Amino acid sequence: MNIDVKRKKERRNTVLRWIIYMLLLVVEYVYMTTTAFHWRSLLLVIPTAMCIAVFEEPFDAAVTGCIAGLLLDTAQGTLIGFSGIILLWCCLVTSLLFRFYMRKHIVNVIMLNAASILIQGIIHYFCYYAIWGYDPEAKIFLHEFLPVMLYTVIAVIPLFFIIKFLVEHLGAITENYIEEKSDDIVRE
Amino acid sequence: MKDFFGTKKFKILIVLMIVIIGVMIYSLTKGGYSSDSESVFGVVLEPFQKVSNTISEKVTSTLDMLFNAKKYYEENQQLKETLNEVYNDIIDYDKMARENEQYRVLFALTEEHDDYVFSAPCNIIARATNDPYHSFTIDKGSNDGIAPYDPVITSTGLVGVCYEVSRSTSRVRTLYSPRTAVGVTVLRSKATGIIEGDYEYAEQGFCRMSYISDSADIVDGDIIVTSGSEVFPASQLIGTVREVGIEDNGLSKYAIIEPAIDPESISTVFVITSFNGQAE
Repeated sequence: MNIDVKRKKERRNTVLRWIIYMLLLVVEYVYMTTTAFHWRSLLLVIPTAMCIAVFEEPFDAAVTGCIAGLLLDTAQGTLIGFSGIILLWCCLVTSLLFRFYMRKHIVNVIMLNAASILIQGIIHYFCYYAIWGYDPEAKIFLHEFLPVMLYTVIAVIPLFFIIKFLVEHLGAITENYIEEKSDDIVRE
Repeated sequence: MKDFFGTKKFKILIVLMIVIIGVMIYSLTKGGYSSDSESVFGVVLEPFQKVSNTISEKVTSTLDMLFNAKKYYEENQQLKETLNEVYNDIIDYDKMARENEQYRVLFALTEEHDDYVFSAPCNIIARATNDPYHSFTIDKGSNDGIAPYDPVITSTGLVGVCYEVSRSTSRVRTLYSPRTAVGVTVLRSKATGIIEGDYEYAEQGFCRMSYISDSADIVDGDIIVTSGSEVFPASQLIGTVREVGIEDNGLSKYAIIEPAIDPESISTVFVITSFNGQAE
């Protein structure tokens, strides 16, 4: 394939992919703020941002995490930037880990997602309930936070495959070459 | 990996984080008011929130209808029953209020006429179909002490007379009927006569006073009351004179009387079951 055509196609794919990412986040935000689902509404923007981080560059992943966090703040009514900073770091670390140390396997993704969801949940619970003494017996954490965290972790599985599908079909174009054996080639 | 922390991109992220922390601190100092940054964020997200709300309402109402249909049906049935009970209460209240008013009138009549014995207040339950003389049926009969030819009155005056009495109902003939003959007198001059119904006059809402002496003093506007007899007690208002004329024989006068009570417009009457001078 012509290198220019390939680059052009890749650039178009990248734009399209990011538009879909953002649309996905917006749809999830709408879902989270839809009162009809308010009972145990899953925090879908976290696994989505984390799954994007698995496949994307660290900087892009961090910005996506920040945006997802800001959406989460608006949806949860927490201080703007509260979850933004948490998810910025979570996505950055996730992206770096998968880039340099970890395999992009579903189990690894679930583990890192669970860790991020747990970190965000615990900090949220601590800052908004625990330190004010609203929940001395941790009932809110056990009956509200934990189930939501659990269900959100389960939601990682379909989201991971959706993002993976997008990356595979709208990602970098890979070209496979078949190398023929030739006696004319002199290898040193 | 270490290389990334030395790049420009990482520095941008640090700046971004510092900006966010700054926004957070600024928001905290606003003491309950949203900061400008939050407002900007709110403006950006507003359309999405509107969409979200619209979806919310539709989804909520649809799901609500689907999942709570049985509950709403039962609630609806229950409310219908409650409503019926309330309607019945209103009807009872209305009935009691009406009865109260009737007994108040009855009390006043009893105070006015010591010798009268009244039945309980009677409601008109039916009117004779196509009867030009406006006869009607009341909901009290012989069980309430009513007998044939008992006079029927209202607080205004005489209405008619009972002519057919069953145990629980009675039929009443009005002043318009030719079969009702009431001895009357002119209140002003004491001139006497007899009220008789007449088809032609009844059609126009009048009745006829006959047998008035040629020399009797009677003019338009005179008030006519009962003179008192074995059937009708004295001094019950009949109506007013509308026209006076000479009978064909030239020997007596007649008068056209407009009854004080229109039987079509009343719903409650009282039957005098006994009065001084009544025929046994």
